[in-house]
Amino acid sequence: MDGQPRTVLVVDDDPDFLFLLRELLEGHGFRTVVFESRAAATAWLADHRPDLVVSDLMMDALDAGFSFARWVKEQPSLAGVPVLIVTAVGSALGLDFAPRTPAELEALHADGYLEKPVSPTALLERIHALLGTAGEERLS
Amino acid sequence: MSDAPVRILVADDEPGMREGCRKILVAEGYAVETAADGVEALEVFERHGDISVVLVDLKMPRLGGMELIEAVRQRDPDVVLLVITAYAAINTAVEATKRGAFGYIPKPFLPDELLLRVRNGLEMRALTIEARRLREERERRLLEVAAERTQSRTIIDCMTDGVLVVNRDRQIVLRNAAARRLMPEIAGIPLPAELETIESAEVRAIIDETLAARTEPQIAIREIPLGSGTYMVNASPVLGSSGESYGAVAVLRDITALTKLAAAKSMFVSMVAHEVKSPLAAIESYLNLLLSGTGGHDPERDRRMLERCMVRAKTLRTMVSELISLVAVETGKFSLKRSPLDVGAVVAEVVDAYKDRAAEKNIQLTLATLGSAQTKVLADREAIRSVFNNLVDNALKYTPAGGQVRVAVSLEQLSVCVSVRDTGIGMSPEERSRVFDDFYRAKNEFTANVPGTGLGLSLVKKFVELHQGTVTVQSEPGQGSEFTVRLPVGE
Ligand SMILES: Nc1ncnc2c1ncn2[C@@H]1O[C@H](COP(=O)(O)OP(=O)(O)O)[C@@H](O)[C@H]1O
Repeated sequence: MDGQPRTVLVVDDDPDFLFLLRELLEGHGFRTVVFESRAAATAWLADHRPDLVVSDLMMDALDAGFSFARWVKEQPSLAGVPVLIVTAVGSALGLDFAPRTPAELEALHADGYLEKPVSPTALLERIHALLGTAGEERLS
Repeated sequence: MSDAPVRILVADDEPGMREGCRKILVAEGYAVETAADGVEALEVFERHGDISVVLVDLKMPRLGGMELIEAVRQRDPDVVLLVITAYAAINTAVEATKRGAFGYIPKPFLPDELLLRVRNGLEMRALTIEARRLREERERRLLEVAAERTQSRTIIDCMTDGVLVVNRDRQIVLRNAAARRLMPEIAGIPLPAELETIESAEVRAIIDETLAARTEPQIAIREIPLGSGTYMVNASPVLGSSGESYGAVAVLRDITALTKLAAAKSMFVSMVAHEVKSPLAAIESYLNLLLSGTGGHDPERDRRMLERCMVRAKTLRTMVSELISLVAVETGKFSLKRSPLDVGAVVAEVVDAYKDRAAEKNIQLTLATLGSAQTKVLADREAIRSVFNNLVDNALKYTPAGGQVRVAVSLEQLSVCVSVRDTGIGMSPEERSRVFDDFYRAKNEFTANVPGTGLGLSLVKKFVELHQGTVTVQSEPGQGSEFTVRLPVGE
């Protein structure tokens, strides 16, 4: 940490989550950029580099979050930016996306996976952990 | 009949002969009629109708013996005709036999000779009658069996299920029309045909398993893909009377529609799960944040969060009632309570109820009733009200402040037509084509801030269709939308 506020990009088609995450993260010293669609987020990412991406899973497509995560991972300009998937779907009938092992998580191109409803402490812990990892990577 | 004595007719112009024969025969228990010439004999024969034996003297006045034989034979093919003849006329007697006489008795004869010939004749007659009865019965049975065979074959052929019968040597011995349609590879080939001819490995496998299980008859049921569909195959052994297996019969039933229905059902359940979980997750997350006290205390912000919880909870409640209605309509449990209904009046009530909402949003809401014609249809008041509630509610929801919503009621030739037109955000062709789908909500910056379930229009369509009506939509992005409902009158 160098004192500069970290930027977290949030994509979710549920405006309440954008509101929630903005309130929570800004209250904890983060800067947030929020988008209601993949398209809008993608456009912004063309010339910006956030420190972390938080994405909903089921947006315009069932697994929109995962394909968005893969897109992020494929951008050279976004190398090393961790992606956290947050979803309300979880293990709804027939839609069990929840990864159970690190390998499964990696296959999904995500660095973390959380289910809604989010607990503020769990989310903050996870975000700090991911940023820490990313920070170390940047050092090495 | 069987107890009645056998009746014998003696036709002879010699009274001594007639009487002699009569005595001999009566003594033996026969019933005897006599006639002095051919014409009388024929009369007697016809009058009694149950004469089994006729003794004929060939030389008689009026109608000769030969003619009598022919006449009697014509009337009854089973009657025993015995010619009584003088030794000198043996040739004629032979001729008579050719024409249908059973035999002849040369004169003079002993009583026993006469009785023997009569008995022989009667036995012969009984045998012939029995043989014919048997033959007729067999023929009738054969006809019945043939009819039954074609009948069962026709029934099997008319079945919508495919039927296959395979013998113990793994040869197809029967395949009905549905099976031929399902497996074109066995449609035209002559039977018996090798089981291998069937392309589907699954079908072959299930039949083989059934054939293999000889000791313990087993019935195998399996779901398999066949052609472009899904089939349930049910194979059971064909067992003989003592339990030995002759082969297997497989019935293939098309369950494609059922499978699709099941898939649609679980898809629907998944969607419900997601749609219900999302607002619950939002509410819970807000409450988590508020309770954890993270991020300081900003009463203004806290209040906004609680208001959002309220909005999401309300949407959830609407969704649950809409789901209940939707399921009721879909399972046919929703019973319409139809009564003559003034649609124009219901629409006016709905518009009136939304006056305040419109004013709050600074939207001009107007109602126009074209013509004074009556707008009565046989309809369910609550269902119709919820249709227009939904349409007016949507028009107000998806129209930014300062816009207009115009509701118009008019009478067409066969229907009442209600249109709800707004100057709102409109829809793209893709969105327009999906608005009536369950849970569908257009996603854009405007709709994201409008609470909704995506079920309202599904219900509108279902309710309208329950009334044999139609609902259509016209819309362009940014140009507003117009929903038109037509309900048939005078049903
Ligand atoms: N008058 C309208 N103008 C524009 N879009 C509309 C209108 N009515 C419905 N829609 C679109 O159709 C979707 C489905 O409508 P509906 O089934 O009533 O559900 P909702 O609860 O989302 O309003 C809406 O989410 C919206 O995108």
